[in-house]
Amino acid sequence: MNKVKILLIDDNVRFINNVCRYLNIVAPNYEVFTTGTGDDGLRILEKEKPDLVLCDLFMLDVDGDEVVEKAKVISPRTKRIIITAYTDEKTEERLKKIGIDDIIYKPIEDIETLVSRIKEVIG
Amino acid sequence: MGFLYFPYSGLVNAVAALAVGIFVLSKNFKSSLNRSYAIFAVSVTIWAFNYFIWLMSKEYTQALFFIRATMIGAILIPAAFLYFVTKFVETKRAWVHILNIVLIAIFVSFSYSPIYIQRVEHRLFFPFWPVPGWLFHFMLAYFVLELVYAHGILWNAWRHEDGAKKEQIKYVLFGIMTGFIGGCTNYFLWYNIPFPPYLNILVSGFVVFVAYAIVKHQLMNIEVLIKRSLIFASLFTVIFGVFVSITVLTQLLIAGGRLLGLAISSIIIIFTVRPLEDFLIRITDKYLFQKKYDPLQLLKTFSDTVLSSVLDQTAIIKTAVDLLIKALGLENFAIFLINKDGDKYEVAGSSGIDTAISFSGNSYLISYLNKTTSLIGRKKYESPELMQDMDMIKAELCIPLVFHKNLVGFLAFGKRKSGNDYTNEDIDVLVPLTRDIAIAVVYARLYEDVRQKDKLATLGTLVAGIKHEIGNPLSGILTSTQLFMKEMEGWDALGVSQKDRETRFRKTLEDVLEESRKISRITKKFTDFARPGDEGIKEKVDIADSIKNTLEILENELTLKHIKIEQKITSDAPSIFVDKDQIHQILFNLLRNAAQAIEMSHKSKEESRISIAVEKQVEGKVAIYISDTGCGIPEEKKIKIFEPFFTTKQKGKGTGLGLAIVRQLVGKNRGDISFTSKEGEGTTFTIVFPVANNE
Repeated sequence: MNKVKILLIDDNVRFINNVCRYLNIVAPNYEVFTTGTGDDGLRILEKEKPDLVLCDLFMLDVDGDEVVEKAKVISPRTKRIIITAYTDEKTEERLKKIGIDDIIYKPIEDIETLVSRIKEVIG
Repeated sequence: MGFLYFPYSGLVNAVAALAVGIFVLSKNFKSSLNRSYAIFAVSVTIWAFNYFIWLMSKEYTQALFFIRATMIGAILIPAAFLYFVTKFVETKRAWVHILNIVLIAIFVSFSYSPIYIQRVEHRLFFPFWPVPGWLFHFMLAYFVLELVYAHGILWNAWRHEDGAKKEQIKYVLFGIMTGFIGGCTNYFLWYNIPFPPYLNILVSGFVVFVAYAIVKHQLMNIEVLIKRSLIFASLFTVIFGVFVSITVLTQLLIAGGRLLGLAISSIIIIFTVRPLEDFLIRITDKYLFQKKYDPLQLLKTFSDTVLSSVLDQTAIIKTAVDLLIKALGLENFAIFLINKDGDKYEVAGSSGIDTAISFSGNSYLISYLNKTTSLIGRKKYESPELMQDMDMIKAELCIPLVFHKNLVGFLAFGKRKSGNDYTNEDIDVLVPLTRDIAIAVVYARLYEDVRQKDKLATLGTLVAGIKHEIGNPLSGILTSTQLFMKEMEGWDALGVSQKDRETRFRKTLEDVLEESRKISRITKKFTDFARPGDEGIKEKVDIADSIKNTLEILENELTLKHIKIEQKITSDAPSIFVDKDQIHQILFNLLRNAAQAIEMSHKSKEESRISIAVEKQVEGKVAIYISDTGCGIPEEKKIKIFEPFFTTKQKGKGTGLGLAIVRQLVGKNRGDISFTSKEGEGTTFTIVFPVANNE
């Protein structure tokens, strides 16, 4: 059985590492890739063509909306989830135009919710 | 020689009466009041001028002719005066005037007959004094009755009028009493009482009082723009008099002394002109202009002050109170404004009034002001309830503050220290002034409201920053703990050793501790930025520290907008003596504006830059430069950027107060702010503060 590939992009390294390890426990059939930068994320996307990308909206190098927009071209089959503390109207509009599968707001109080949202999107 | 006093008193009376009569008529020929005064003045002139000729007469027939002509004037005077009085106090007595015309006709038609004046004969030192016929006694009775009647009308009007009119009536009354007391001394000799008309000159007293009432109280609505012209006319008269008398005297004393006389009078004139001029200016200022104030100056001072402090209601009110008390010489004064709930009018600023007094919307005073939106004087309106309200605030005059038909408040003017009442002239000045106050107050309140909204917007930025900054460590804590708990569930099944368990436990605690410390630092950073309640306390502030602190607060926003910060702050940057929170607010607003300007310009990341520099200047000043590479300010908008409510941002993005507040705060801390900007290239704001003293 093929592993489900998941890519986590967030500059909060502790957060994605924790989520990654958590997923390894509760969902052993997931193969989780993590990175702290958008550029790196795009490279992994191209190489791995993951089933799902979970990307932070505001990052130092490339913004999340740019990553998901490019992901659409690089790997059209990849589902896209944006994770953010807040959005403004302009970004929300942009995200709607790009088309994403879900948006999750930080801070995530219960990892289980995150896990179930991921599972839901992957289907 | 002393005898000459009597004829010349008549001449002076005639000239004075005629001069004022012509002056009054020339001011408003069409006014029936002015005309009635002129008729009276002409009557006095007829009487006084013939009086002069009669007393100067050298022969019997001439004297008899002119004393009879004199008495024609005397017949006309009381009726003419009564006519003037009825016009003056605006009352109609048609039947009295008709009766007077009939009486005048009778007396005048007999004035050249012996039943009126029998003959003239020698009395005291007068060679030709008249002997009355029987009709004369009736004339005198008519004369006295008319005068008593006219006085009665004036007295009655004086009691019921107020303000300027009351003052005017007072002077007319004084004047006519003086004039007739003087005139009456003419009649003792008619009845063989040996008292010559010593006080005849007092007839001119009437003219003096009327002239004074014209200048001071706009009697007959005459506005006299004198000062200079009056002073020089008087000066000229005095000098001319001196010149003439000295020339005449020296001619009399020194035979052939015309030249010497000229020389002496010239010397006197040369040495007396300046002091005389000063003296005349002084007395005119003292007695005629003493209590006057320059209404234009008052309005100008007020609007200047209001414009410079237009955003601060307290300052506006204080300015208005100080200015009005000083200009009008008020014993007490108060400005009442509607409160925030809109149900009560409370004292906003006052002097000599209990500040705890307030009026509800249904009090008599407020209802009246609301209904009429016009001012209330003291005696015109007799409602005792209204007067009671006025008494409570010791008000002589209340003027409403109206803005768009809403009663914003009112001004309560107390008694004036001079004892003068409020004149129409005062009210003409005060009404536009109150309009200014009303607009300024409404504007200041609006500003205060929007400023609250702006504070909320700033708070929004801060909260977003806090949320994001705390969000990261919080996510770390939340996920670390949950991960640890999830791992624990599997420990037994996996047979994890005690030592590994402890290591794992310790590691999680360390992570949580580290993230918690981050949160603690963030909260400290934000509380350092603004300490509520410390407003206005000035201290020595390190500029570099303040900039660092503000940048930390904005770090989140700057990062998200990919804006680089360049700092050129030398280590020896001086400290400034300011309110620290206000400096933070100034820097915060300017830096946030810079960031927003860059965002609006859609520049590339490489070009998105804010530079901050601090530079010591000469003369104990230090300048802070904040430059951005943003969109810049279009030329036509440059003059407006510090104005409140002006914004270039999208609708709903800015309140338009940021820079207005910055300018206000910079001013409060004795600083200056300026800027240079080029559209499309960026803007540099420069704020300059005095360096803190070293002690």
